Amino acid sequence: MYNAQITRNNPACFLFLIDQSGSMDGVLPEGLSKAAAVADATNKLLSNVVIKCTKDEDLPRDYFHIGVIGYGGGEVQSAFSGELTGRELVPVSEIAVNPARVEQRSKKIPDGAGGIIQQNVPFAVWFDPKASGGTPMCAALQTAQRVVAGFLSKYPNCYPPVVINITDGESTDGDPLPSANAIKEHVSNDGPALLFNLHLSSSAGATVEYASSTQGLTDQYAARLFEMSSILPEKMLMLAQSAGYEVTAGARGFAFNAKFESLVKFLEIGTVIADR
Amino acid sequence: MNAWIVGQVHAPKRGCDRSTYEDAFLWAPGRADHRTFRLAISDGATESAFAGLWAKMLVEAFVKDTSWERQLETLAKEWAEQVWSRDLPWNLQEKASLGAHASLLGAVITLSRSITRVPGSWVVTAQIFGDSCMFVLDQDGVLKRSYPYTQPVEFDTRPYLLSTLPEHRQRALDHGETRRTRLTPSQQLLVSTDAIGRWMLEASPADIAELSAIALASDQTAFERWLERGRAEGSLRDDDCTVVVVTRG
Repeated sequence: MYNAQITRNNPACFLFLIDQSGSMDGVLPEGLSKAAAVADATNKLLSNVVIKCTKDEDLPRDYFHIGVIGYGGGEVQSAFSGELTGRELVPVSEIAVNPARVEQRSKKIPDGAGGIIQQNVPFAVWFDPKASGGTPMCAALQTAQRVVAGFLSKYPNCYPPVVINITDGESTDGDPLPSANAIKEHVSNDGPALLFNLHLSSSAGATVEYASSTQGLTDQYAARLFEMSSILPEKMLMLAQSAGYEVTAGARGFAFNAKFESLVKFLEIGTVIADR
Repeated sequence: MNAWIVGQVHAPKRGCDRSTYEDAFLWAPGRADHRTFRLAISDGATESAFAGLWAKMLVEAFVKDTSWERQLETLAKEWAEQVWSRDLPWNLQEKASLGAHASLLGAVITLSRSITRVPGSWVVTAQIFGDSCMFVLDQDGVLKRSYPYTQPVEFDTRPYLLSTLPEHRQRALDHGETRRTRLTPSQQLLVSTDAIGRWMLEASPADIAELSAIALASDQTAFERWLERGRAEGSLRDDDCTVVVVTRG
């Protein structure tokens, strides 16, 4: 399981579920709202996947199909804007040529002589932060289930779809566990679809990441998110270990009270299969 | 019985256009019947852009010039000039700035002059950077020696590849190795990129003999059929594949 070779004929799928409820306008210690931090991290991740799939041709190779579903304000819909508005799952070549805009951002880079210089670098933006209304997580997970099923019907031998849910609060449309489990029941010939959950927090509470049991999870909601989350396949587990996390076999793709830095690392670990 | 016979077969990944093939191979043209010749094989890393171009530059440099290592900085500059000579989209600009990486196995093949050895025996001295491989085979396909790996699991580690970026390149040069082996007149040298290399360490002598015969005959059609079968069975990783076989005529 979780060994399928990812090729253009046998692509893999990443689906991001982004909480866009009103509470996402809460500010993180870094000074960004949670919504802006998630948008930045996800845009950066999309950019990285495009670059990893880029070879000698202008267009990247379609090793991945990627979707970003936003949920909040009573709606569950594709979070892409611009030309990709409304699209649920998009081949990476189309993502590359259709950012909503390309901003110039300042970046600190080594000058080659031991110093650091500021340089403007392009930053592609596919979706913008949003924050309003409730948290229809069940509806979002059901949408994910439909998207995953559609992808698997086209690519039954694919590396199992990876669904990453980023939220800052509890579901407001019911218990998300049955919908989460339904995603994991969809299987390719290489194993069940994967669902990872990250709870982003601006509070000072301790972060719990990649737990392998509910032991120590005093918060009922944390335990729920844990139950919803898949066990990390070996490659992801190894990356988590090499990133310094004390994780053991059976660790789940789960983080509670995560801070911005944890979010970035979580996305890296969950999408490590893009490192081809 | 004085000539070298060199055969080669190569193919891109399954279902991919020939233009996507990023391995490279070369031996000294027109000198294959002399006492010594140079042969190189390289595998452009899939994760980098314009790696096929870099692989081609590396094999040409090795085959043409005994002081090829001193040319690497110049080669990297030539690579950059070619890559940046046109307008690149944002994704390709970012990718190209990460450099290109490739393995290199460069072999100097020499007919032995030693009077104490079996007449017609030959010596291969190879510089190896990364996971391209060479194998010494008996006529019946029995694998006698393999370099640089001897176990399939060694292909699971990330190799140090020659890069257009100086810091990565130096690391590969530091980890490179030189291996020397002697072959009897009836033995064959098989050189390959990593997908075939891994397969070689798991295959039976009969299967190895079949592959070496196909490569020695440069039978591209038979090789593509052979690849299709191996990929379908799962015994062969879907990657660009290159095999060069050398024997004494």
